[in-house]
Amino acid sequence: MEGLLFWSPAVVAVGAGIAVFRVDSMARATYALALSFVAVGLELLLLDLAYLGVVTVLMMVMEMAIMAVFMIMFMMNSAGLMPMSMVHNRRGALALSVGVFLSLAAVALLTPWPERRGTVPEDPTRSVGTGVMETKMLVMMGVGAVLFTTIVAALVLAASRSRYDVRGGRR
Amino acid sequence: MGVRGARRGRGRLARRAAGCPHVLLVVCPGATGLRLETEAALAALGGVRALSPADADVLLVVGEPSAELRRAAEVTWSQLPGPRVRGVVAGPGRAEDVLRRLVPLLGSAEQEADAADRDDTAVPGPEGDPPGGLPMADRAEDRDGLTLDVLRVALGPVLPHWPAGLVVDTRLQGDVVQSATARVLRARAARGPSYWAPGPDASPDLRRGRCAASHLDALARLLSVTGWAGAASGAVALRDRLLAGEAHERVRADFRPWRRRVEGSRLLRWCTRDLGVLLPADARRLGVGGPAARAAPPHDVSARLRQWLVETDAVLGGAPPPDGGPRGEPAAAPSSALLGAAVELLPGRELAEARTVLASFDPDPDEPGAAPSVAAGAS
Amino acid sequence: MTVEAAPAWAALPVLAALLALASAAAVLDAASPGGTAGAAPRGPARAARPLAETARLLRQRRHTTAVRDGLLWQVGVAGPVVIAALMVAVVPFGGQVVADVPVGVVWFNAMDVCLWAVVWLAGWSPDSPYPLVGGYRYLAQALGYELPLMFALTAPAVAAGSLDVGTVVEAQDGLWFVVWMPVAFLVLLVGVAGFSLWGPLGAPGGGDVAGGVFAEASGVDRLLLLAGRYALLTAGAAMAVALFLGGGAGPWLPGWLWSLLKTLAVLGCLVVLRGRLPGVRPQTVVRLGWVVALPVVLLQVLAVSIVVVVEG
Repeated sequence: MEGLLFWSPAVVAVGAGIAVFRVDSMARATYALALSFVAVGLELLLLDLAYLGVVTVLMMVMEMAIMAVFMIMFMMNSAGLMPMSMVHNRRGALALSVGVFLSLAAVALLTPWPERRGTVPEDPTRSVGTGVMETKMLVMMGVGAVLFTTIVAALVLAASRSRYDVRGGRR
Repeated sequence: MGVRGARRGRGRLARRAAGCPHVLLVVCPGATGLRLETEAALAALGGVRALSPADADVLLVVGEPSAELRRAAEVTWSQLPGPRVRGVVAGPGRAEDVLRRLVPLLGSAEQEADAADRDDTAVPGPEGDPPGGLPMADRAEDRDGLTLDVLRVALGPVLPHWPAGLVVDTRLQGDVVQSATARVLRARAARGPSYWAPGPDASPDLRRGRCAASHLDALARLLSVTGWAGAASGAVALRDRLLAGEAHERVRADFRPWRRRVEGSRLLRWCTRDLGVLLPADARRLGVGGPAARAAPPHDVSARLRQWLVETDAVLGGAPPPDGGPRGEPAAAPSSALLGAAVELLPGRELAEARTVLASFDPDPDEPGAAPSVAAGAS
Repeated sequence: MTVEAAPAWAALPVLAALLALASAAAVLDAASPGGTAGAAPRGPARAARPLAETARLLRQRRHTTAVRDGLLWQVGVAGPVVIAALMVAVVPFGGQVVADVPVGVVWFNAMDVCLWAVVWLAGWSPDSPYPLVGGYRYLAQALGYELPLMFALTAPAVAAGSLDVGTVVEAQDGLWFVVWMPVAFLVLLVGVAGFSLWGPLGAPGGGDVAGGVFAEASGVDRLLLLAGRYALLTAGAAMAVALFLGGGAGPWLPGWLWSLLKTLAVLGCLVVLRGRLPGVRPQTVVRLGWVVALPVVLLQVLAVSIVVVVEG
């Protein structure tokens, strides 16, 4: 049962990832990528990292939706369904991506992971966070807030006029 | 439940379904009177006006279509999913009969068979691009100098809350209008005076009633475009009462609270202010008269809307229409200037704004001598 | 009150409740002035409209456009109903919840972001300009209400010290959160209207673009889209009840009934308000969202955090 729970999202994640380069439509490629990330989010749920899993789904779907808008609305045929290839430099890309995939998979399989000592902590997400950040947690949270403020401020400054020219006529 | 039971169940379903027909109107220029009649008949039968062909069961051509409008109606007809029926309201007093005859046909078994068997997928074009034989959109520079795709979209002649027979050919980038050209489809027969501005030999009472009703009709269209269906249906009800001949004083008594509600809406003011500003100098240059020219500063959609409310109130109170017609001096064909002003303001506007601006001028294609074609924007 | 995981079969009655409430919303919408029934005569016939409309759409053929992406169209059409069901899965009814996810609040948020994808697909895949514009409008205004909505969901989570919806309900023992975080409650309701294409935020399905994302939908497809819209409204109302109105808390009646009644009340307010407000254009939504709603709701979260720290 546990194997099925692991393998089905795993197959979907890899399969959807391959589909990104097999389909001939911008929208399908974008949403295949989104599906792949959703499957990865589900794998995180299996690790009892509920927050990280759900946030992965949230962020990735949001990102892909925005990406679809920019790619299709501003760069591609706005009427939509022009077939187009998602591949450039076919051979090189294939060699590179297979190489990266194999080496990452090898690292995952060949690393001598330690046996579990003690019990699962109450909140694994928090433990992972403090494990990675250690004493820098507070600093990183502060940096997060500063980054967010910077993004908003930069947006306001750059787009005070907005795409639509709210006030006044055309330039 | 056997075969007979299933058939009976299906019959009941069909009867229920025919109780709320969705009707798409294709209104010909010059057929305003017929349109109002048809709308009233539709409401009396419990029908709903469809927003798009895919939403419609009944296609009703109102008036006598010219060749071009007939083609548009034909294309629209091919987009109705079915069960579907179509008819023509060619003369006064027939709308209700036509609807009463058409709607029951929707429930028939032949209709179901037609809907099940019809194959309307367009024949695909030659292999490769463009898919389905649809033209690929062009590219052009946008406001910031980026080369982006443009799409040619004709607004009208079959579009909800849209002046009859008007077509605005636009070039869109995303949903921003880059350029616009407006034209009024020719009417089949020579046009008399507009329904809204009956000639000088009409009684003063009729002329006042028509003027107020015209403003209410325009207000309903504008409010519908901004997405306020509740207020729009109020305007339609008041309009129909006026046209049915109810005393102006009594209509005015109900107009007042409605006006307060519309004027009091802060959300509506937010969404219409600073939009579609037509400065007095530009109004003079373009020859715009009537309420649009009298609107107070800042001369935006909000101001024009308020001007309609004020003038409707005054006319209902017994004042004569300021220019003899609702849009300006009827002899001067004021709608050409209104259409020109609207089209000049369209480029650079996003689609919802563009439609709001156009609705705030409300040109009347029925007027004889309405401009054949006006253009604006980067070519 | 305590909230615990319900047995698996509880998914069925919850799904039935979702559909029943969504139908109730459709009936109320048809019966209220300015609602979907248009100029139809008043009275019981008006309220029975949704039934007639359903019959009509079940008989109607599914219309297709010349070139379309059939697979993505189906994802877009079925998406809203499915997502609404996934949303209510984490909402407790009385003392029971179908999916006892420890991060239910974030789950709800993730589901509403998934709507960005599916509604945009419903607009894009028919390859027709008006639905396309509708799809873009949905994303544009989502950018306006999403951040305020996120922080509105954060406020009760901060007060309860947990992202678990059940814990948030339990933390409201005695004092409902709506009393001391009304701003967050209102912003949540606006967000619910936004992701349900409802009322003032209905521009993606607006009449000015011939029905927007609904423009090319007919037959069962249209039925699913419309049902999805009411179901989303219902799911949003149910979440608002759990986070701000004490969930199933109340005297005399059983908890699940209180949850149901409160959800119905919030739903009723959302439906009735629709005919009374004009539409807001997407760029105005973005402006109001970032300039007005975001600062106000951030202040609300700050106030809540201070109270939590002071109270210990």
